[in-house]
Amino acid sequence: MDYRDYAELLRKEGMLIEINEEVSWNLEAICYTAMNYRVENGQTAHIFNNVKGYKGKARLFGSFVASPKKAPHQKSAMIFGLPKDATWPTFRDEFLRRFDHPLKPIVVEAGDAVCKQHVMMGKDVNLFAFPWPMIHQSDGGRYGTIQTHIIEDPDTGWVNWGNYRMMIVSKNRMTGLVVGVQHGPSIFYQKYEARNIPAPFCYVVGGDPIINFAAGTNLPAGAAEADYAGGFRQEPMKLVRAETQKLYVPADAEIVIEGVMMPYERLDEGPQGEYTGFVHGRAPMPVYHVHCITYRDNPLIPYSIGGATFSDEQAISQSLTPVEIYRQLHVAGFKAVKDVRFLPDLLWDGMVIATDNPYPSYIQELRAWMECHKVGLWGTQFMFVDGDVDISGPDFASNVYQEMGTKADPKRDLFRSDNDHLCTPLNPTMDEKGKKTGVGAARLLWDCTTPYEWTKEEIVKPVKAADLFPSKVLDKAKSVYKGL
Amino acid sequence: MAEAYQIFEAWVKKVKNQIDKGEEVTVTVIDADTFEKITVRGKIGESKENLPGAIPLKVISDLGEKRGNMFIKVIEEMDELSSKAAET
Repeated sequence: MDYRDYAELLRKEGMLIEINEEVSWNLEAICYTAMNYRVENGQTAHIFNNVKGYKGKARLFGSFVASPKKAPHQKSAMIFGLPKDATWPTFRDEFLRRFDHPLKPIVVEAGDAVCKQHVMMGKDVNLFAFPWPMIHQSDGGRYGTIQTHIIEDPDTGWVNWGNYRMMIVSKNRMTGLVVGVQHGPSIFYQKYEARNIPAPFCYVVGGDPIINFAAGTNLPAGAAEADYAGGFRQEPMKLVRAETQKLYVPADAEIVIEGVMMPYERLDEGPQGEYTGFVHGRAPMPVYHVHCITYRDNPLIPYSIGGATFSDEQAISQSLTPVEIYRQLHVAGFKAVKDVRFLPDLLWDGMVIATDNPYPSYIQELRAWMECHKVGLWGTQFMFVDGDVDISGPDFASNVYQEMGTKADPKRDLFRSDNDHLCTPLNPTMDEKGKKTGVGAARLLWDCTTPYEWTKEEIVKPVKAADLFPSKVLDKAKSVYKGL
Repeated sequence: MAEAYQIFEAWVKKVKNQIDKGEEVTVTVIDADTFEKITVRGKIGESKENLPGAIPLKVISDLGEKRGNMFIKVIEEMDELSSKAAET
C-alpha cells in the first residue's frame, strides 16, 4: 500500500474529499485542515489538487491520519489493513502481533522504482518546486512535517528511520530541530561531526504510510525500522538505492531528498508552532545540503498542524506510543497492566496506565519504571488507574478524568519527582537553561489506583446507571427518550 | 527580487550600529512571498525617505511576533558561500 492506494481506500470508505479550487500553500490549505480537525473531528482526509503555483506538479494531503478523539486509531487501523471501526484492543493486539514478526526489506532496480520518475540533480535541485506548506503565520519558514529521515550510524552501519520536521531554507538547504536523545540527526550526526566528515542522509515523503508508524516507534537501538515496517505490512518493504548516497529508500516514495549534513554548520531553525500548543522559538540547528531530489508524478505531500487538535501527528503518536509502552511494560514483567492510552486533550502530557495491583509495592515499582522512561521526554505526567477502569472504549478519557478527580488523594497519591529528568527544548515548562541543556524536567505521577492494603469494606463503590435505577425505570426512560 | 522581506529582530540587532551610521550591512532576510532565506548586502532604515527603491522589511521576534517595519535597499544578493558567513 502506498500513499495513493491509501487515498483510494479512504475514497472508497467515503473519507476523502478532493478540493479542486485553487488554494494557497501559504496557510490557506492548513486553515482548511485545522477546521477539519475541529468541525469534522478529523474524520475525512482531503487532497488539494490545485495548489496555487503547483497545479499538476504536486498536491497537499491533509488530515491523512487524523481521527476522532474518541477513536484516535481509526485511520491508523485502516493503514494497518483493519476495518475503520476496529476497536482499540483489536488495533493494539494486531499491532503487537505484527511487531513480533519483522520482515527484511527487498531491493528493487531503479527502473522498477516509481520514486525515480523524475530526478533533479546538482544545480537543478529546487526545494521550492514543491508546495511545502506555511503552517502557522509565526513560523520561520515552510515545513515538511511528516516524512522519514534516513541516516546510518557510522560506527555500526545501523540505519535509522525517524520522523523529524524539516524547514526549507533555500533551494538546496534545509534545517531541522534536533533533540538530544534522538538517533538520526542528533546522536549519529554528532558521530560524523566528531570525525569532521559529512553525514549522508535521505529524507523520504510518502511510500507505504505504515512507514510513518515504524519510524515513529520506540525501537531498541540497532533495530531496523525498515524491517518493522515490513512486519507491520506483513510483506517486505521494497527499497531502492538512492542516487547519490549508499542509503536505501522506499521505492514507492512520493519524494526522496538526498544530501549531506555538514559538520559544525548551523542555521537558524524555527520558530514553529509545536505539538504542545506553544511556539518553539528560533535556534541554530544542523544544515542539510540537498544534492538530489527524486519524485513521482504529481506527488502527494502530507502535513500535520502542530498545536491544533486533534492533529495527524497526535493521531500517529496516540496510536502507536501507548501500544509500544504496553508492550515494553509486559516485557519488563508488569503483566498486570491491562491497557495504556494517551489522554487526547493533554497530548503527550497524559499517559494513562490501567493496571491491577497484584502485590504490595507493585504500583511503586511501576511508577519508578515509568518515571524514568524516555516517553517522559515529551510529556511529563502519568496516570495510574485500576485495571477495571475502561480505558479501551470511546469514553476512556471521561473515565480517566473521573478517576483523577475522585481516586487520587492529593496528600497520598500525587508523586512529584525532582527536576533532574531529561527533557526536550519543546517542553513549555522549561526555563532557558533547561531548554539548552535538555535536563531539568520533573515528572508528576497520579496514583488513582485503589491502595493494596485497603479492606473490602474500605473500597469505594462506583455509581453505575444499573445501580441508580431499577431496570423497569431505565427501560421506560429509554422508550420516552427515543420519542423526544 | 522580492516585494518584501522579513528579518529576525536579533539579526537586526547584530548590525544596529552600522544601520544607525547609515552604512551598508550584510544580513540574512526572508522573502515574504516564498519564505526563502537569502543573504543580501544593502542599506536598512526606519523609513524609505533616504533609501530610494527600498522595500518593506518586517521585523519579527524569535517567536515570530511582529515587532515593526523597516525598509531595505538591496544592493546585491549574495552567493551561498557568503550566506554561510553571514548567518547565525
